Amino acid sequence: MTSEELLIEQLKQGDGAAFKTIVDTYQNMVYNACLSIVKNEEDAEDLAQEVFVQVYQSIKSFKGESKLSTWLYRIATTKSLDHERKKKRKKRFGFVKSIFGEDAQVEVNPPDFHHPGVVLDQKENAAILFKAIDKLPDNQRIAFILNKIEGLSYQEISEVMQTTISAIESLLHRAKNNLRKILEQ
Amino acid sequence: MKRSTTDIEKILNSLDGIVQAEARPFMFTRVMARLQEENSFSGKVVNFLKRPAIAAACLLAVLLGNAYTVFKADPAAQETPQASIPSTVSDVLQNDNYILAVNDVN
Repeated sequence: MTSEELLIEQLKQGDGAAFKTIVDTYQNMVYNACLSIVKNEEDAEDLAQEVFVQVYQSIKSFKGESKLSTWLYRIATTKSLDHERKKKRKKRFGFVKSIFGEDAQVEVNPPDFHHPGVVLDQKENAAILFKAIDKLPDNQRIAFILNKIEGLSYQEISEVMQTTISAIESLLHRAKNNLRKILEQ
Repeated sequence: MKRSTTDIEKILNSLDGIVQAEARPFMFTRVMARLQEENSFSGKVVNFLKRPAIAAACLLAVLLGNAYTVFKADPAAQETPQASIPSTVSDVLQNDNYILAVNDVN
């Protein structure tokens, strides 16, 4: 039994120390994945906490067929995309409310996102790239973020997104082509 | 203004060498606080009601209740009393409105 399997077994039995080890080990990974998708530090922090709450509550359903990090990435990306959808819905609703004269804040131009891990002289270009990434379809966006920012291999991305490696290759190829088209404008 | 191919490639490669962002310290404490909050009775009730299926079922129940009240209510009870023209003198005298009208004239 590997140390990860042992940790999962201990957590399934309700061991608080095992849960602390999991949170301490994976907190930056989960936070970073959420941050790259939602592009807001407070929201990412909130989502990372939600991910660990879900891990604690549903660890019994984890069969151990994939690595723990893969499962965490899957929960983090799903939650972050849900959060994005909710935010867009709220924004649309706020716009409708503003038409009817109700006091609703409509964010016309959200500020540029500066990822804290980007090299200083690349900050401006990275902000442009993050804006362009936002315009990609969800599956291309997730594949691109997991590959470029999280540094996952095609194999790992295919496990997170529950698809084949060739599908990931195709997604990343299309993502890069679309980004080029978006950046040309 | 259109970007050159070199600029586009520079932008696409701007994430090379990115390092992981660090979460704020004491994440475990905050996660545990959140777990306790979710496990409390009020937290469970709120979470239960927040489920889309439950919210939709509640809304449907309210609408069905309204529909039942409207369609199954006794039509006789809903009839509004209508004013009729008094036919006899005694009827006229019993009519409050008539008496009030007479008082006004006086």
